[in-house]
Amino acid sequence: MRSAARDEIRDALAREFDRLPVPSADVFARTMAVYQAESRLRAPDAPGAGLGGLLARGTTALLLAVLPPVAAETLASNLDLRKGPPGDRGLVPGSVLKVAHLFGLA
Amino acid sequence: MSIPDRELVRRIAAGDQASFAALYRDYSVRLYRYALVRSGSKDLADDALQETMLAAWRSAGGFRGESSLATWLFGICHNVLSHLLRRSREAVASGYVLGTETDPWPGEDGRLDLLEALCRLDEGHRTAVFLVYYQEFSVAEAAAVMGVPEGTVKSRLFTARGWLRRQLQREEYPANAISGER
Repeated sequence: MRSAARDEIRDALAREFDRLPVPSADVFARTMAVYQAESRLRAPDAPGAGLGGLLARGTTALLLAVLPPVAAETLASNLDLRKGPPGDRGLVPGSVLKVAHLFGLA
Repeated sequence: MSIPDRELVRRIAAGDQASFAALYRDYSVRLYRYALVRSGSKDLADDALQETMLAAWRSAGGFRGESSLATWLFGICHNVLSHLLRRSREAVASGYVLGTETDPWPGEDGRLDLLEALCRLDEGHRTAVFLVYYQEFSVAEAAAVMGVPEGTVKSRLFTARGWLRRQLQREEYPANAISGER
């Protein structure tokens, strides 16, 4: 194919790719929520016990409960949390009690 | 003045949230569109973007600057999306463009003919076209992202160009769409 024809297709594709959607603000919010939760738990001075630890675990539990399944699974996996039995995604949006149980809060 | 790639990633590895947010701001649209073109699913593109950014943060300490930041990020996105596609078992072909789902492409007439033609190609060809023709990666960089030999990328580009040209001619695609006339 001549280079001019190749350039024409390249330019036409680029114009159409430019019109593709952009990610919603919700994706950014979810990403930062996981980032902040993980950051807190990985911090060297993160409290592992006491009221501070309880609050940290509670915050993460609530976060896991409201995240979409994929994000919740990823976060739970990264935090080495126990998952549910096969067939059960383990952590699903809204399962506050289940998540809280994993953290020893219920 | 923008921060050099290595310095930006170093700050991210050190836990600087503002740098992480800056990375998201600078690359989220490109990565999202890559995931969207490759998967044809807005949901998968959402998840791929989120997981790519988080994976980049977690592995930032290992970034040595041997490749560009863009190549590194797209490589992560490629692997994340491969994992998500396997797990979701969703069809790769773009149901959106082919009309089985709500059309997410904001074309003036509700559809984009050239994208529709592109989405009839398989995933590997679409990915090569997007990386080289839109992201302006070199063939070598695209090959690194996709984890295939450079010759494979060249072959896919050649095949895709010919296929697109034939499809668009067959469908009497408006001449000004290809010739560049506005």
